[in-house]
Amino acid sequence: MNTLNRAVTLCVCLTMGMTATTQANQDSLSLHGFFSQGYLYSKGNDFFGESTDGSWEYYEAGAGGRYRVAPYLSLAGQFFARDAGRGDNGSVRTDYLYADLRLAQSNNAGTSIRVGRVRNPFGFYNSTRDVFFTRPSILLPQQYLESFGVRELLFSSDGAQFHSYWEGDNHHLEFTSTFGKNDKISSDTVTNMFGAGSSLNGDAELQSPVFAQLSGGLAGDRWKAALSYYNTTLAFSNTSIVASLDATLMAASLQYNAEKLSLTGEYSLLSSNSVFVIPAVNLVSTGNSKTETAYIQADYRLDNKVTAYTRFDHRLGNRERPNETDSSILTLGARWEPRKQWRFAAEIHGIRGTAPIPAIDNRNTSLAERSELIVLMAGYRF
Amino acid sequence: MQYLKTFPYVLNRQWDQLTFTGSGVAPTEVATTYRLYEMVRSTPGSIGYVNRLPGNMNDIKLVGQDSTFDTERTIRF
Repeated sequence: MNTLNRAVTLCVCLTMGMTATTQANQDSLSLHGFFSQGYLYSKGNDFFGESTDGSWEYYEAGAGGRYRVAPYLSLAGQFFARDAGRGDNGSVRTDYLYADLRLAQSNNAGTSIRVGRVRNPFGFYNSTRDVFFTRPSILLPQQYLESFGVRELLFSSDGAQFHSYWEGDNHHLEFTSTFGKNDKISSDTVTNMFGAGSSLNGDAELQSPVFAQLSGGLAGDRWKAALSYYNTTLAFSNTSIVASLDATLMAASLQYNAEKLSLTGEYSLLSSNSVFVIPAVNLVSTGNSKTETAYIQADYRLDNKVTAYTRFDHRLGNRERPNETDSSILTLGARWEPRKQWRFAAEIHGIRGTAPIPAIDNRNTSLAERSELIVLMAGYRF
Repeated sequence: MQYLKTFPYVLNRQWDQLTFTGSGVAPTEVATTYRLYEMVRSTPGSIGYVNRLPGNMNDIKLVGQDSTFDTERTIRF
């Protein structure tokens, strides 16, 4: 920071009780936005467009704000567009839009309820998964189901969210739970889940999604941990088949932060129980599956602008058939943040296995077992 | 670390998380040391975080050196 002699970085206004009127007015409305553009080049399989020839079909753009209506009531919203090959088409959607009502607050604890479309906390990164500036790398680990075409099942819910926090001298705890209402799932997502040739096609319904997360930190987040839970039922019905899939996704997250080094590890378990009924042939079939993912990432800050990182990410689709269902990704990358508003990153992924390959970008070709992928991204925020 | 009780990069991550989920508002940033000095001086209870102290600041209090990269200072009204 001293090398460029940047004069001032932050004015942290710890407003205690009544503060200057001008400051209160400044704080009542805050706006933010971001844009990031990526470039992908791969060998083996396509990612986010025809990346084997080089693809620019990857950008994220969003704008939002928070307005404090009263000391106990705020409104928050963010609109977002993303293009990622065939997996996302750049249409604008409401990322979140909710009223945040503070129910109780003391010096070191508080509880609030948020009503509307809320972001779902899951793991360390799901609640801000589309913001390049908050991700640990350009592409998220497999745990976040980035390339599986099922993002809409995770990122936000229409419903109510309860949020509580407790702060101590050397630690803090947060608990967030979301109760979503039933929602329609697009036919694209259903196709991504079961494949284009599956008899499960058409629209489906996401029923009673519930998210819960307990998270906390010790010693100024030198140690940070989270336990996350997500349960929902997916209901399908078309002219030939009725099906129900009960899915539970759980994750344990741990992070260690030192001055130069950060280590992050997350483990997740996806369990599903399914029932299929085909009335025409009087067939009832049940099944269950478990999928595990785990990764560990090391970040090393060379200075306060440049960070190098590496990650090993493993997914096991079925413990009984590990050799057929596992996949792993080794990532090496670096990011450069010359100013707070700008971030540039480059990373290379060595991929073994086909689970992390976005099927929607490789519909007419057989998948290669190995892929190499280079991703570049530049982002601006305000 | 002594005064913030965390590393600056961790603090920035926490503010980004709050900003981009709509849960909170990040601290105000200003362009110059003098502007920071003015804001801290005129906002009771506020605290500023700088890497270089302005020349004349007799009416604000230097809390202490608080840096992982040796140059930041914290000043408080």
